[in-house]
Amino acid sequence: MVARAAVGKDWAVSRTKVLLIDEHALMRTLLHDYLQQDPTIEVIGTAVDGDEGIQLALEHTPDVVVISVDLPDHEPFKQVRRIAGVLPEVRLVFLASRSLDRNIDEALSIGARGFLTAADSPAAVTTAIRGVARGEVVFSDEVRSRLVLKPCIARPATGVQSRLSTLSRREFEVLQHLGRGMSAQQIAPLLQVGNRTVEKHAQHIMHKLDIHDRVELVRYTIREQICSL
Amino acid sequence: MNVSAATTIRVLLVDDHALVRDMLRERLQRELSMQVVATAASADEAVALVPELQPDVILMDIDMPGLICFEAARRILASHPQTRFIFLSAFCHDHYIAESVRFGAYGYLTKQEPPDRVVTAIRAAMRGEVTYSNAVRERLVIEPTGVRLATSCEPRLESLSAREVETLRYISRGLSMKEIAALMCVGRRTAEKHTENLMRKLAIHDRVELARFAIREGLAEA
Repeated sequence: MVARAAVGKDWAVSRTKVLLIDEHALMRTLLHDYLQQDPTIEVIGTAVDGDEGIQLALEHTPDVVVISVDLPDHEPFKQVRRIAGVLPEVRLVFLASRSLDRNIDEALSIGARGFLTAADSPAAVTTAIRGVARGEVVFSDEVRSRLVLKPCIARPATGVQSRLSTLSRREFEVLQHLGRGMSAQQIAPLLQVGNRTVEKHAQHIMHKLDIHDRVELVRYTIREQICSL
Repeated sequence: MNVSAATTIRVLLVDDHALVRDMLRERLQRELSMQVVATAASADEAVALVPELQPDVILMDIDMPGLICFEAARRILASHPQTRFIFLSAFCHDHYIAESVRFGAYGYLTKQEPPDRVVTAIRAAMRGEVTYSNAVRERLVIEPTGVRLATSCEPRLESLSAREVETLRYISRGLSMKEIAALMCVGRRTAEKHTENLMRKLAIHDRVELARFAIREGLAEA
């Protein structure tokens, strides 16, 4: 026991301090126990949401905050932004059950350094934590497949945006109608354009979003809460 | 330390998300007298693994790509009726609850539960007890004759056969007739027949509208 404690102390110098925020007990507990086994990581606390998290963050000044996000919900991002506000050095890593474009954009907008999904392995999470602690930017493959480079940006690591945010205002409008199940013929009179124009928009939208089936497109708009049911 | 094979609970863990699956496997492996005999990333894989591994308990996620989990459970129970199912899902829709109740699952847990509760539910299943998360139990009425849902389903859905509901679920995932026929182990003609019938019964004649209907009714996830 004494020897272990001494080892623990040695590590304390270089261990990355992590705060975990996840509303689901299953993931929160599993991840906590998993990360605790890693000698380079110290979980300084777990919280169910950002409000609880900010208290822990102020108390323990974590190096990295790992936050789970689920639905496209602005709230968790707002809460985490407050943590970043009081701890400007903190590195944010998002963990999502699926890589929603809107969540990716929100995360990027508050300077997230990492974005992983539940499709990643537990080892990928520890690797990401170590990576962002060293100053790297870590996006998983699934997230990367939803990212495109912003035109004319000097810093490629942060000069990215989601596929959704590449749509023009007009395309977004057409997407909202398509998501409700409307045909080009039904959409055209609403926008006071011809069928062909709507069809052209639809093609561009599907290309930009990398979605190639009408049912997939509808599911996308529901998932991203662009359309209600 | 050595626990005899007779008392070890053999668990098959099925979840398409590597993160939960791998961490949960580690957690269950730490339990005495519990062995994760395999993990699978889809219900299809689970069906293929059962004859060789003969698990006592299958812990299964609900919303996975590929074969519908309830259909997988039906196939497994047909050949291995002693298998005990526990569902673990982030979702808590009435249809999912109704299906798990209908074929006698030993539990339905939400991902709000801590891992310890999953362990407890697996042990309870071996004693013949059923475990529901609170959010699930709230939607159930327990009567002397059995358990039923507190609210009834959309009436149009009641008219669909189990095969038609399954077909509807695949359509709402954007699968083609060919893909659906393969998953259901039927000919393409049969899958088309199911589709025609369900479209007539629901009076919805467009796959986009069918998908929206199925998601709205909680039969599928977007």
